[in-house]
Amino acid sequence: MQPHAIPDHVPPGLVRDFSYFRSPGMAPTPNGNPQAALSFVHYSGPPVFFAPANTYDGRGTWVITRADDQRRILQNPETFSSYRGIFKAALGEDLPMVPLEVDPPDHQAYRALLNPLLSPKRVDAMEAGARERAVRLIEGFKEKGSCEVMNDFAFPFAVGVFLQFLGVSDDRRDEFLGWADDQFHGTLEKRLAAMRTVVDFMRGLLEQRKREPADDFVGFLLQARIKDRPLTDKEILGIAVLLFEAGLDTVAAALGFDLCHLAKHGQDQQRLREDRDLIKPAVEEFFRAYSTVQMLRTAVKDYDFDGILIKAGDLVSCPTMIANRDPAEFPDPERIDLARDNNRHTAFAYGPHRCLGSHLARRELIIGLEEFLARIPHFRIKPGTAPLTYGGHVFGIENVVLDWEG
Amino acid sequence: MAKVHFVAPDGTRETVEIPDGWSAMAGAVADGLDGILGDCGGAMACATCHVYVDPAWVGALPPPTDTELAMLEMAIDPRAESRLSCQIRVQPALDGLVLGLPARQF
Repeated sequence: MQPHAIPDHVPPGLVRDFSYFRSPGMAPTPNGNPQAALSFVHYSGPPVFFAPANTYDGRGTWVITRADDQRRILQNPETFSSYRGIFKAALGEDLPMVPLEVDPPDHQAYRALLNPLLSPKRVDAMEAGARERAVRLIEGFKEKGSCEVMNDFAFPFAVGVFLQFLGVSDDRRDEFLGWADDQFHGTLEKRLAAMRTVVDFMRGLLEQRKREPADDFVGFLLQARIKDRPLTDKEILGIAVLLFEAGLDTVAAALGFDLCHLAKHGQDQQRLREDRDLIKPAVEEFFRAYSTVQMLRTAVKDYDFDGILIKAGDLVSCPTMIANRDPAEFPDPERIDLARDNNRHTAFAYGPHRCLGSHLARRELIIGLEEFLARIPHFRIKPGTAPLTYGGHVFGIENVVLDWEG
Repeated sequence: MAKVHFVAPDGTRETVEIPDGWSAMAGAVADGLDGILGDCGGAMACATCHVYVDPAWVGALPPPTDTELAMLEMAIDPRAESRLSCQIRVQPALDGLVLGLPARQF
């Protein structure tokens, strides 16, 4: 990808050789730790800098490293818009992901509509089904003495819970898994094709629900009214596609990073086995230490950031994995402390677009770890294998092969 | 400036002095109070600054907007006197305000 030229208003002293795709530890790395690999920015160089070629398509971005500075950006949607036309390229038509790509004040009406779907009460109601899925998957590989976390557990689990949420039958799980795999891990061409497939699937579901109303997610959206009008088909698709994009890869990656950590740190694994109450704070600490997303905003007007000119049109990146290892915010940030106190991480972002699905995501992680630890004896990374970690727009992990003695 | 008392479920009381015009959430977070998170910074997107307003004080506060009411659905164990502390604007008349903390914010 041809890098874009560095804009004239960027002072050369603030340009830094940094990339989520090419910096050390960002390319697929056996036994890597991509979150830790970026912590160096807190100890050298300016806290706000410009990284040329820091997106898929070779664009430069500002990178905001400090948690406090990120909060200032994310709380100012009038200047830093989250609309990016993410799927224009993939679909040939603009399909804004709703409400992520909608700025306030319109944003709030969509959020108010969707919040109840992912409320603690609703998540409570989903818990039994989610737990049953986790148990079924784990029991399926337990006797083999080995599993590959992502394909055998994390993805089928996250996809299953998502289908449960959509009200779509499990018969389609493998098909869905294939799309998710292409979409999140495939080549650019495969990603685009998968994206179109997902949109077509959602469109089909929408048409079906119009003919045969049902009390499920799409049925709810068809009944919903926003500012005294029904949602348009495009809005419903934008919502459904956003939930697919936001709720699968992130949950699966978190499970992968967490189980990889526990496999490599036997003492932490033992502590969680001995004290189940520690699983909840441990999940929070893993969210902090192994955050996977960045918030990317576009400046819609010029902004003076403590003397640095951010011009209209500039991209501004607020990486959670960097803010969550900010020493000004977290004592001893590189240490994984399962019982960390006052753990105000921003793994679910900050500001008006803070994650809508956090209650569900947290519950999925807690269920996943609880059931895994309850059913699988002491596990480790299978000798001769190495988990493969990578950076990028969303950080991830693959090939987490565990083994244990039956 | 007003003194706001935050009362944990075990009865422990922590008093925070909050400048006029600040939200109770912002004051609690600036003070490092454990029971208030304010994950979204006051945008009514997370419900992690949930409080139970002491019944004696409910009438002293302007009623919640529809958006706040809808967002309280996202809180754990909401009750009739539940509010988002990011929507409570501190002013001298609220000196002595008593806010109960929920057992957990997520």
